[in-house]
Amino acid sequence: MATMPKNMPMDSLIDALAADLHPVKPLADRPVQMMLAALLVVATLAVVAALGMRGDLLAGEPGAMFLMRCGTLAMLALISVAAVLAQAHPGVGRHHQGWKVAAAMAALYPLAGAAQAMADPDHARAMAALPSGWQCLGFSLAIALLCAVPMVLHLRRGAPVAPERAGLMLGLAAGSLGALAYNIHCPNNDLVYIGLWYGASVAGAALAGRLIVPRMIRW
Amino acid sequence: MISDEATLQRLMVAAQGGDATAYRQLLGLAVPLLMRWFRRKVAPAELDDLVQDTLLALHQRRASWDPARPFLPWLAAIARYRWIDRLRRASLRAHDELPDDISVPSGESALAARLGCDRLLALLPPGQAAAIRAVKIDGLSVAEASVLLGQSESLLKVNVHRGLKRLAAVVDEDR
Repeated sequence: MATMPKNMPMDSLIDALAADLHPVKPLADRPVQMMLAALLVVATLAVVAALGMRGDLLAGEPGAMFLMRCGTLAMLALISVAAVLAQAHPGVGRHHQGWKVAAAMAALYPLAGAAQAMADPDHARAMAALPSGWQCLGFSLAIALLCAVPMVLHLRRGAPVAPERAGLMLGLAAGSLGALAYNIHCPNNDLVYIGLWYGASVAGAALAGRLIVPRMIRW
Repeated sequence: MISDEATLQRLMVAAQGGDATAYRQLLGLAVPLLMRWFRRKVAPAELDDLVQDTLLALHQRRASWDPARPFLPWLAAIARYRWIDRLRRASLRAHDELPDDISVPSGESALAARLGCDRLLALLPPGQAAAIRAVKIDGLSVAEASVLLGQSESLLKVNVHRGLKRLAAVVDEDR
């Protein structure tokens, strides 16, 4: 709507708002969910086309570590995306704490990786020096950026009342989607590697979301 | 007309569909609800402005209300957001000391209960809540509040800053 003057008599404001009224379609989450699903599929196909698929997946025998990593990222993505979309429809008393639990569960990977790194620092240094780590980080964050766009647009159309928290959730959701897409290629099953590089991807995206997104969705 | 949840919900559904008459009724019912709540939170001179600010927010963000959910919690979240935003932007004085158990009709009591400023402030550490109440709501100067609360002026400023940040984060969290 055009800028509505304030400090007018209350009845006049109500008249002006009523005169400005036009039908609106309630903001729906479904199109964003579909868009994110499509982006995830496209990004995963692009990763496979550019870098190839994991050998065990190609052979039809996915390893246990891959399944656990994939499942954790998928759950984190599902839960945090749902939490982000809910931020567009505020309501006092509505609680969305699931994303915190999912994030805490996912944090077991970097924590366990850190414990292993302390026990074997040479191995940890080798994992940190792997060039594929930077590739993991780069691809994951690039895909995360792509996935962040529809969520930011959704929140801009909605009424998020806690922009900082919404930004953090959005970064977490985008980061987990990005890591999930890249993970189809990633042949590395090492816990230190996963904790470090996947942890950096998801945490980096969450931090970026917390720092950048609030100013884009504040109203 | 009674401002109960079912009525407000029905009017808001119609308003989303473009029914100006229903919308006018809805806004007319929302004004006393908001007035009554904000009256205890801001100076009388600020009251109309804050209510109008909230009505504008309601208007601009009306598509964000989900018809499958109740209306009052949505309005409460919007109202709190505008109130906290205003607290963050300027010091506000509350000149009238109305009792907490103010008697209100049924629809309004539902909103008043949801909007409860005291409960929202209770989510903060006591030092931060007291600092916000003294400086931002009761309108004391930093020096006056510092003496009253026994906090140094710098600690008081930090408590106000951190408290407002925390308030903004928990705006829709308590029940």
